[in-house]
Amino acid sequence: MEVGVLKRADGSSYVEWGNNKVFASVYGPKEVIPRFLARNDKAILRCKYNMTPFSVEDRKRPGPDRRSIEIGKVTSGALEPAILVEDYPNSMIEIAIEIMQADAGTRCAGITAATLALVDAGIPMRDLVAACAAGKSNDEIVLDLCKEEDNSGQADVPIAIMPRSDDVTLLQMDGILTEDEVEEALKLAMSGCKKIYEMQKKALKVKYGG
Amino acid sequence: MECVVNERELVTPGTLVATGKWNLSGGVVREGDEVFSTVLGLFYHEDERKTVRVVPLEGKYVPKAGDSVIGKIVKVLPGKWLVDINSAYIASLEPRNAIHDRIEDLSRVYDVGDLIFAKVDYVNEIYDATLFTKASPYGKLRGGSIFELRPTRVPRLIGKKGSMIYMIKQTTRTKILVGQNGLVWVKGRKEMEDIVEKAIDIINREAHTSGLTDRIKEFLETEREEISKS
Repeated sequence: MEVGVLKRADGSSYVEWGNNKVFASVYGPKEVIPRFLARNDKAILRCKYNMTPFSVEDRKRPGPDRRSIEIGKVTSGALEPAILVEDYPNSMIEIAIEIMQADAGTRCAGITAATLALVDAGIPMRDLVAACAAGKSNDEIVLDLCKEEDNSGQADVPIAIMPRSDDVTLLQMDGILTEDEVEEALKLAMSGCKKIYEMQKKALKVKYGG
Repeated sequence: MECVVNERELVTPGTLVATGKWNLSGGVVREGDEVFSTVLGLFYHEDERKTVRVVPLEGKYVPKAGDSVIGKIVKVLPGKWLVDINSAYIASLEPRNAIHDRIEDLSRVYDVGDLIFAKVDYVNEIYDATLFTKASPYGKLRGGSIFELRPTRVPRLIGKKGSMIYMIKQTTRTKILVGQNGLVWVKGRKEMEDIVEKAIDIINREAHTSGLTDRIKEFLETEREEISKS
C-alpha cells in the first residue's frame, strides 16, 4: 500500500493486494457539477469504479457497465458513514477507482484504496474503512478468495467495516451459504479487515516518516 | 481526563487521542467519553485551557473571515465578480468592497483571469465568502509569479511572527505575498524567483519536521552564492 502516488489529484493511493492492482484518486471537496445535485447540509459523494480493458483475462470492453456502476454505488455507500460530510456543505467529493489488474476481490481492494486516498486528501473521517472478503470454496470457508477460488467456488461475501466500532458499512453475498456458514464467513472477514486496518495505518504514517 | 497519545505524535483518522472532558478545537470528534482524531495530522493539547486538537497535514482551504487570500477572477457578473480562491467554494467580490466610484462595466476593473490579493470579509454558514480589496495592500497583482503549496503548510512558510517569510524576502530581495489558501505571489529578479520556488517546494515537503527555518536559511545562502559566482 502506498499513499500520495499521483501528483495532480488532491489525494491518491495505490494498493497491491495479491494480484489485484488498484489506483484510487480523490478530488475535492469542490463545487458541485451538475448544480442540482448539491445538498446544503452535507457534501455529496460521487464514486466511479472502472476496470481497465487489460485488467482481466479476456479483454474487457472499456466504459461503464452494469457491474461497475453497481460497485461505484456500493463503494460510496460504504465510505459515506465514515466521512464527516456535514463539514463541507454544498460541495462534492469525487472518488475514482481504477483497477489495473484484477484477481477477485477488487471491490474490497477499491474501498481500501479509496479510504487511503480520502485521508491523503485531508478529508475528515470518523474512522478508516477496511474491506475484505470471505467465501466458500471446495466446501470450506476461506478468507479473501483469488480468481480460481472465486470462479469455481460456491459463495463470496465481501464486507467493509469501520474497525474502531465494528460497524459494517458494506455487506454483500453472492452464492449460497447456510446460516452457520454466514456467521463463520463474517467472523473470518472481520478478522481480515482488522489486519487490513493495521496495514492502512502503517501506509499512512510511512508517508510522513512515522 | 488524560491524553492517550504523546504531544506532536502523528495520528491517523479514528485514533483514540484522549479521554474525559476536553474542549475540542479542530481535527477531533467526541464520542461518549472518548475523543478521536478525524484527520491525518499531529496531536497537540493544552492543559490550561483543556483543549485537544489535531493539526491536519493535508486538506483544502476553508475560507475564514480575516484571512488574506490570492484569487483568480473566473466570471464577471453585472453586479459582482466570482473569484476562485483555491478552495471548495467560489468566493464573490462586490463593487462596494472593491472600488470607490460607480462603474458600469466591472471588467474594466478586474477582468476574467486577473489575479487579486484580497481579504476575506465575511463567511456565512455554508461557506459563501465575500472578499474585500479596497485598501492597500489588497488589489490586482501585476507581474511576478504564482507558486502553490498545500494550504496546511502556510503557517510554516510564514513562520513565528513572520520570521521565515521575512528571512526569504531579505535574502532574495523579492516582494512576496502569501495567501492563506496556499497561493504565493513572488516578484523580483527571475533567478531569485526560482530560488523562492525551490524553497517553497522544500517547505511543502518537509513542513512537519523541526529545524526547518535553519535548513531553509542554509539553502537560500548557498543558492545565492552560486548566483553571484556565475
